[in-house]
Amino acid sequence: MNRVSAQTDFSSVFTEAFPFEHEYDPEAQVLKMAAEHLPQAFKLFAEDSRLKLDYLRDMTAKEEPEGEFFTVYNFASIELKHVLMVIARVADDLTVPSATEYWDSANWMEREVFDMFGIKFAGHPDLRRIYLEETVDFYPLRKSFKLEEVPNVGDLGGRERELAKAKAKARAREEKG
Amino acid sequence: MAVKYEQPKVWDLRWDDLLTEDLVLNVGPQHPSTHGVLRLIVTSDGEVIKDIEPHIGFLHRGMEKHSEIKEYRQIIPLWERNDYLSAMHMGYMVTSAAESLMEIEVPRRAEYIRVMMLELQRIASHLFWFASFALDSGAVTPLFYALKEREKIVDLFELASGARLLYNYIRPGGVRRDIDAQFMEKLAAFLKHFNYYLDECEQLYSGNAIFINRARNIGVLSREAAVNLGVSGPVLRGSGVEWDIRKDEPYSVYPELKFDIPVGENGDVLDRYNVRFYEMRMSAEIVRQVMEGLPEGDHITKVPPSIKTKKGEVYVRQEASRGELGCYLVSDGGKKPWRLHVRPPSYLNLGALATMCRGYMFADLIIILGSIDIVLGDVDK
Repeated sequence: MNRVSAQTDFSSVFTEAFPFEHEYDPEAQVLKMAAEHLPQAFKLFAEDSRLKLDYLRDMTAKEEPEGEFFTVYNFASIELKHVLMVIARVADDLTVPSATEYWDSANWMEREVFDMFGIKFAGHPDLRRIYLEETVDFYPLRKSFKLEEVPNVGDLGGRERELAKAKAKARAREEKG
Repeated sequence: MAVKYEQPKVWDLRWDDLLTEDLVLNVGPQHPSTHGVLRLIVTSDGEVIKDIEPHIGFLHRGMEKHSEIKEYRQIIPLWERNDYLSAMHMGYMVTSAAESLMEIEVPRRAEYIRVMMLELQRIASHLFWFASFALDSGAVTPLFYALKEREKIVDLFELASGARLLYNYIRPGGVRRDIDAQFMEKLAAFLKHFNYYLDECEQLYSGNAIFINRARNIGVLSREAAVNLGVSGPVLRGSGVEWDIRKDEPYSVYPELKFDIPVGENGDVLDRYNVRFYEMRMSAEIVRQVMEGLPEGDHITKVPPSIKTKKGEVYVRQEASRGELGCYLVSDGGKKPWRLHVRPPSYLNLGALATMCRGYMFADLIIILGSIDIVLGDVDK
């Protein structure tokens, strides 16, 4: 595991700036909060001179056994050399405020999370699937998608095949009529 | 949206009153210079690139999902296929994440051997980059020089692990096999002449006026843009940001070793080229230090064949050949990861391609892409 020598304690900053409920662990540098308050947090991270978290190095999501989704952000400050990990609980409508307003690196990473988990990002300039085809209708990293139950990788294209069949049928009908 | 960073306004310099129609051109997905299956949709005005939209995912294998149904030992060879040119780093990534949740003591000798292998892998990967980059810029000769030298490192890996490309060598508890006298002898011979070899390469290529004219002030990525776009590794350092995880968030035995971090000035193709060359020298220097200070002892601690990690989550990161390689492991206390997320360095570096290319000529596209050093397996996961 990485060792970070000098780490800043943000406890006072967060208590002062966040009126909402949050949980901060200065030892592990993890901040836990609800995703709906993220815009306020992003603004603080990017603009506060005590934090200066200008480098969004990683962003992903996870699903807990109870079926709750979380988005996970990893920030760093190039100048002040400290890091912060934010774990945000996603609300039931699966919509999270986008971080692209402050960090361009969030663009592709949020597209990946959308592709893999189906979590939507409000305010994202170009929210499309990035790895998979636009036509697929599943979100592979959700726990409800069982890889063991997929007998053949070719079967993942089932929806595409259905679409092709429907098209062929429509064409045949047109030719007849 | 506010402008987040300043980029050099090359486009304005080339802009004239003559308005021409935008030309949309498709490059790839199977173009030999795209280093794999990458499709670029280029919008250009005449010869000048206005925008690029990369389409990725042709090589997506769902590795994160596959990791959830396999045991820790099984996912090490799986992830080595992610970035196949830097397989040692991928193996170390899974290993260090699993070890962080296992509370086992790794022998010092094993850590030293690991660092030795990681740095040799960095040299091998950069040499392969040099070969393909020189091809991208129009020179064929360096390919043979670089691959001849890389072959020596691959031979060393074969001696140590038995494999030449995908090693499965670094594993929880230590490394698979101890290194022997024959390995050390060959390694010493390699290090003895490697710096001369690099000098020769630089004489052949780095000082070449044709190359410098093609690479200088091309594909400039400003410091602010590099940070905001989240690029890492030689691309970030080429833009003048002194950020190396081996120094800033050290892991393994890196704090005990002395090495410098090369940093560029302009953030152009030439800077990224020079940073990588200097990194190879520094990696050789690290290997030399490790070789001299290699402690005696075991190369692996006893670990049960089926590994169980404790419940919890951990984020480990390391400086791989192409940049920051992060791994987020969530464990539910079982034999398989509950969630394993990998932050591949090439993914975000490729995301900066459009910013780098905007305003430059179409002919510069391939050399700029070559200077990022992407591996499509790494981009697509």
